[in-house]
Amino acid sequence: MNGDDPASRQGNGRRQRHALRQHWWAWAAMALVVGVVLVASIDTSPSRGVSEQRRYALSVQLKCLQCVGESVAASQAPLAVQFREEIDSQMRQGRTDDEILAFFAQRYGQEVLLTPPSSGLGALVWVVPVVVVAAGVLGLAGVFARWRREAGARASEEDRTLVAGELARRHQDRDPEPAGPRDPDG
Amino acid sequence: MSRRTAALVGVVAVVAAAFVWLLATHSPSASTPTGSAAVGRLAPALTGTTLAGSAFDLDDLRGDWVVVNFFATWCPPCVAEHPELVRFADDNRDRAQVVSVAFDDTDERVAAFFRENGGDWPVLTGDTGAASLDYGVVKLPESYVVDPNGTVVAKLDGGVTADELQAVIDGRTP
Amino acid sequence: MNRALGLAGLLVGLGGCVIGIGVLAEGLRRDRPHLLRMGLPYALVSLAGAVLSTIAMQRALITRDYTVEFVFDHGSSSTPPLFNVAAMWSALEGSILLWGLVLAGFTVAVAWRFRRRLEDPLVAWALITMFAVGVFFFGLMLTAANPFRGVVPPVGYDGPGPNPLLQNHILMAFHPPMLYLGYVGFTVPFAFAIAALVTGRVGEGWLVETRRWTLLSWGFLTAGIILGAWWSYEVLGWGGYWKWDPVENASFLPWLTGTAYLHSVMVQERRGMLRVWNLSLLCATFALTILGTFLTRSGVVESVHAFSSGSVGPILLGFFAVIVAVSVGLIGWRGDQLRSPGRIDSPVSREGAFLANNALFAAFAFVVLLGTVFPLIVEAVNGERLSVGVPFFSRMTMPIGFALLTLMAVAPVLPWRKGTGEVLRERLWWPAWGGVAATVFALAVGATGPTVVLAFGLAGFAAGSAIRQLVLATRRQGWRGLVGRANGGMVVHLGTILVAVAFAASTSYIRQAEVTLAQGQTSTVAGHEFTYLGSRTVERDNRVEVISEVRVDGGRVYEPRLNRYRMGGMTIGTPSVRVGPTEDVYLSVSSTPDPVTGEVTIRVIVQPLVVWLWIGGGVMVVGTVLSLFPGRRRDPTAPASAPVAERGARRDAEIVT
Repeated sequence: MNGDDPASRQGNGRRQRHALRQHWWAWAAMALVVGVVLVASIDTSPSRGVSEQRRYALSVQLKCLQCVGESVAASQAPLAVQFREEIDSQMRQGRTDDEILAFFAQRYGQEVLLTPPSSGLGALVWVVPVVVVAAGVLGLAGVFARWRREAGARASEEDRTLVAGELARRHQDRDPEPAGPRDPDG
Repeated sequence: MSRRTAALVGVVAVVAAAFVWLLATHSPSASTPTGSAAVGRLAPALTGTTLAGSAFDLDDLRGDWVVVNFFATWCPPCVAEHPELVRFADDNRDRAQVVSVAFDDTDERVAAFFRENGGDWPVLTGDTGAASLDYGVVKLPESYVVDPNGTVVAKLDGGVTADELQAVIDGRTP
Repeated sequence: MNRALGLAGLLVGLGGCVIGIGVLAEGLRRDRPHLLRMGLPYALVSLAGAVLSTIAMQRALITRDYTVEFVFDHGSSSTPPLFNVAAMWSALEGSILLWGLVLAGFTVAVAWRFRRRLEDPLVAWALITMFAVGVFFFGLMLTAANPFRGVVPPVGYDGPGPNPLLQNHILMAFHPPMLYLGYVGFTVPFAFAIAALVTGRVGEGWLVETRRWTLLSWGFLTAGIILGAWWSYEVLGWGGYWKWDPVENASFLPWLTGTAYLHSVMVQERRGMLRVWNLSLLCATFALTILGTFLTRSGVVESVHAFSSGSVGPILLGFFAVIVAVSVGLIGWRGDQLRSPGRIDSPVSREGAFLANNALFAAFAFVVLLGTVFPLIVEAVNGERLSVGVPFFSRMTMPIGFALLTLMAVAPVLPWRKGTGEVLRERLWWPAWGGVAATVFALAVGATGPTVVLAFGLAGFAAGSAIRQLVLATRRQGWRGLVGRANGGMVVHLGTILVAVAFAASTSYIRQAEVTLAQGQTSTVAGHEFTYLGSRTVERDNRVEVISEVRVDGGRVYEPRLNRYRMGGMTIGTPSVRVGPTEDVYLSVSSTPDPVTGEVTIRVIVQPLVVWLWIGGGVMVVGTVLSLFPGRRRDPTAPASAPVAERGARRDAEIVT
């Protein structure tokens, strides 16, 4: 695929061919392409109006209270059918998504919304994971910082000899070629 | 055990204990999905034409207790609770009124149902979907008790008894 | 007869476990090797008991022996043979019996595998732990969840058969046993973790011993989850396969912690670090399997899968509490001894990546667990009722998924100890272009919305990285470059990437509509034409099928149907799906033909790439099998750490097996 095989290449030619990979502009070009694609993919279709898509998007956010663990989009229960009809009629009246969801929440309580609230006690379900993850990342960063400060433990000369000997033995076992300077890039 | 380990183990143990306690004390049966936001508020408007052909408006009944009963003739528990409603209506002619709202049903079937099972109160039929949404009806049958000031004070679901309704309008906890 | 046989089997099984514990404990206390060698025979005794009970249950189901209450409740003369076998795990008691059987099987497998080392106290403790779990399950079957309770059936009685939902599709015969093999399999590493903690031998030896057991269980769990999703898709009739239902989450949680463990254990093997963490992950995984069983069986959370049954819930919860208490207690007790000697030199390194991976998986598991139990917490605190559903899980897990895909791209090319920007740029060149190409491709085929396009891009990036590793490995070692942990792991990565892409695309671009058609009428949904040709009725032993014929795009005729089961009168649909490499067209009937007009209402769901979920799952399983074969191993006597100097580090990474 990319000609990375260490045994068959000589270091110099490879280095030249791969020099491109170390240039920042090559990577910037990639980022640019991805950026343009992402911008181009932004969906501009309106979120108002009557459409199957919109009805589906709304009904997956509503819980079918008559059934067990199903959304209004999935269920065929009479209540779910009635909800879907109501969504249709409200879409025709030009209501926004938030207004339609609020309509159901006002009548059936918070429970009917599958999205937990963004205020009050219920908001904790959004906040707690973020806090826990942030704390975890900070903790890990702290541990790394401490390790770096204490980076005292170094390999002793004895360790180095041991490792070098072992590597030499290994390569003798494995390589039919005489051990020459190997390409560091493997 | 170092102090840090001890602290960590302690925290984990407390969280785990709280978690188990939570799961242990939660009784699944007690939590039927009833979610209605109507209780404690002014009753949603309820208007229409009754089976008998006269105009109906819930607001005209201010000053009396009203039991708004959502039902359907095809729903077995609705059929089962009907005699209780009849008994309640007979016992409280002076101060309470029952109103039935038929859901997804035909006039003929509803009329036949009342002829057979009794009950002489107003019945709303036809396009009643909006009303059931306004009240937050989840599963038939459901009864909403509206006090003389027009506030919904209770929601009773899954078949009512006359005693339960009596208890509500007498101000006792059912 | 079947009852007596079954109860006898349960008693034998329980006896084998109890006496096994006693004998092994005595052997340990008095240091008697010949007693410790008895582990295998007692494991065989408990397996014999479990097999006997299972035979009795199957015999009762096959002969429709209605004096057994379980058969009375879940058997029927009209159930087809395959589903009659599967009826055993269609309800609580029988599924616990299956659990007991699998557990006894695993116990024997462990005792057999280590038959030459049974005198080792660590193995003895591991067996004691497994026997203890066995005591719990056999005890459960003899008390609260007895599959052999008796009943006197009325003359001429015929049972209702299993829940119609569960006898509607062949996958139901395989999904639960797979899941159980996964769940129960995690008992093995858990047992060794407990044994290592108890004996204080918290070095690395036992990890290597149990790695393959963990991998095997993980493979079964993966297969079980994917099969479950497939079953939902094929049966439930709304085109979905995963909806973050509490019971689905319960099976997903141990998968998450198990996956985290499979990665971080490599850091421990290699660098001797993260010991406490790994032990905690193993204990958590096992505890979560029990919690999952509790959630399924207690009805404490609302779910289509849940079936509640009396006193079993509290008992399972108690067992969960005991496991947590024992694990936390032991880890706390040995905590200081577990302090790892090593440290991570640089966050930009293989071990740094594994650490990040674990942080992400832990966060993932936390989000899923919190979301699942949050409604209970809120209700307990202030009595408010609220729901936590798909929108929450999608929004919270999406960033984690993206981070995991990124890590999946970068981590495999990182060297141990310390990586440099130069090395990364060199090795990520082609994978990165793979990612760029994937975004361009996604846009070209009409993907809208930056999140899906980004998912495609990251998936391409990660896939590029995995393929690069596989290409390098196969060039170096030929076909052996596909086996072994690292290479098989890359195959698993590819499967995971397929699942991720299919999940993102199918949930984002789902189109659905309901059409009501009279005979001969045609309607168009999402660019496809549907013609309703008519309905016919077929009488079967246990149900009446109303089959609607629908021609799709003027081509083949598809036959979604409604089945009305005679017993209980439940009506269940069987959708019909036109499966394609780019798009599935899913048809399910919502209602029988109107008696007056002859019209039917058909729900049409069009979703892209769904089939790649199942293919991706298959690739994951294949990758797991490849990982189970021994790859080229590092010589165990070779020193594991080389100097930090770059060349050395590079070599080090090269010989990772």
